[in-house]
Amino acid sequence: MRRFGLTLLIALAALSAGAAEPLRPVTSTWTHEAGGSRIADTYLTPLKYSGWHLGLGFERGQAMRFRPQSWVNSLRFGFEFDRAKNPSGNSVMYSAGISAGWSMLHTRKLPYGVGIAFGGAADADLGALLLARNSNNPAQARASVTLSPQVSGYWRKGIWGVGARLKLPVLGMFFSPDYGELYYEISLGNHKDLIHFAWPGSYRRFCGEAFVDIRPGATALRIGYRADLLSFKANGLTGRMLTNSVVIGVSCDFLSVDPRKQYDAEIITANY
Amino acid sequence: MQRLLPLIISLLFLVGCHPIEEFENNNEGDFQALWTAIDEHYCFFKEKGVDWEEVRHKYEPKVSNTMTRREFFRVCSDMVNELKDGHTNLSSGFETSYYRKWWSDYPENYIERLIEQNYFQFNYKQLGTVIYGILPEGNVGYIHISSFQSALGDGNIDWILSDLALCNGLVIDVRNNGGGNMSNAEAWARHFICKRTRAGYMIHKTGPGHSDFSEPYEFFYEPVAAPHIVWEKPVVLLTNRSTFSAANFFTSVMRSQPQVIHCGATTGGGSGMPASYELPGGWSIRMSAVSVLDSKGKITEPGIAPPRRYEVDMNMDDAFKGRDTMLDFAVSLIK
Repeated sequence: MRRFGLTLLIALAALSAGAAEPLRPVTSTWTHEAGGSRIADTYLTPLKYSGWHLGLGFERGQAMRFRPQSWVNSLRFGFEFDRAKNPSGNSVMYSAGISAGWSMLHTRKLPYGVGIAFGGAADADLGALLLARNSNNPAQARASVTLSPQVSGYWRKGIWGVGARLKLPVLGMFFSPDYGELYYEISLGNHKDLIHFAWPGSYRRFCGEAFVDIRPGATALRIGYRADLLSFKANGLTGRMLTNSVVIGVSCDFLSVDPRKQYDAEIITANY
Repeated sequence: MQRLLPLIISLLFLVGCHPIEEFENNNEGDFQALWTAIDEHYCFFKEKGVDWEEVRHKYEPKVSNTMTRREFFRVCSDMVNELKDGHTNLSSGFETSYYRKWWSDYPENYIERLIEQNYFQFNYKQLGTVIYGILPEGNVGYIHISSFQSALGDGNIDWILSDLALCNGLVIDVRNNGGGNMSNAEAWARHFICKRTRAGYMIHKTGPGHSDFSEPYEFFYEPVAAPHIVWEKPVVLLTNRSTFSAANFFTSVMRSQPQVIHCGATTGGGSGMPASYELPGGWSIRMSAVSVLDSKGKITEPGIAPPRRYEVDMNMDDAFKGRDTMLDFAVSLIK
């Protein structure tokens, strides 16, 4: 009985020391993106504008605590700015937006260093378009909250990593004023028919990304391509935004270390 | 592959764009774009009695891709002027079209210098687009607001009203005020309303059809908050045919107040809030897109007439003698 009690104590001590619990570093990625954009919004103009696009992004990914081998989650924040001209080049439209998103993905390790992940994402976007030449309709707000299936794949060998991600929002809500409603009327309190149900018939979006990571040491250099296509229709108004960007960034794994502990556990990163 | 086909089609459906009507970038394309933009967004077809399809048949044969842009502009501006709307302008790089008959067919009824010279001897005060002072007769204050394009804060308006606080009443002159921002008109109106007041109604288009309109949306103005000044003494609001757009709306709000008498000549209207759209060639069309009704739900696009007993025009014989007939009449209503 005494021997059994001693064994139990040792087992509990080993558990509490966390020796068996895998370590879950936070993978942080900072990206800059630059490319082209095409913007259309029939509330402002029936013409399609084209120009350039800039963006900043931050993503924080981590294996989840409850089943770190097979689940990861990530938080994403972004800022985007676009400047585009009409086909005649005599009018400029500006677009600026911020976004935040959270995703939770189930991961699978495949042979040859390949990993795949699939799951869901929740995203919120907020932004505005400005077309200063217009009279009482010089701006258009954009806001949405969406849920999306997301898939990604990752291959890693030595210092090289190659990944791709795809996200297609399928449900949510988005903002649109009524067909000819001016923001002045909205400011006076008429909030009818401003929020719309987002589904593939009314709100279509495709966010795709492919990248190469070069990881000579603790920090990886990321170079990639990102495409973001948004198209929506509500109240007889149609909006579109297409951006194609080259992405460049860095990615690092961060780990909080308790100096009082001994670490010999497996390290599970959130690369997916 | 047969199994994958529905999946591929579904994916294309998910990521495909919603269609947007496109027009060619030439005279004929611009004409179609212009006609369509007005057809889908203009809000006063019924009130103006305009058959827009008929207008198309009248002007479309005059357009060709071989005509110069100036010739094409002339055809388009003639078409736009069929709407008889001072808020509808076609803008190109070399000209902006205006429909002028809403004011040019009426007496001017305002000579700025007449007041500045003969009533104030050029000794008036000025703040932005406002001139003000105490008239030489009857201890009556005078404020001329020439535009609502630029904003004055409540503090600025307080300074003006406090300067005239000892007067028996005010003449607020919005003759030749072509409008500006509704919010600037609202800022002034809130200094003359004593309680929450129904300012009017708004009706916007809900679709491209000529009958696609929203229910009228009732909106209210609140008096300016203390310690700002609310003027409760008598006010005479003076208008002429060039009192237009936001000034026309200001008139509709002010004349609903019990201490305000509306006198002068019928305003120019312009009760449609304009919105703008573009043509493929880079021109822009501005048009009345949202109808603003007065507090009784009445359309004021043709203008607002003062009560018959307060209607007055400028007598040019008086003007030659240095007198503004309309201003003198307004002052007599306060004295």
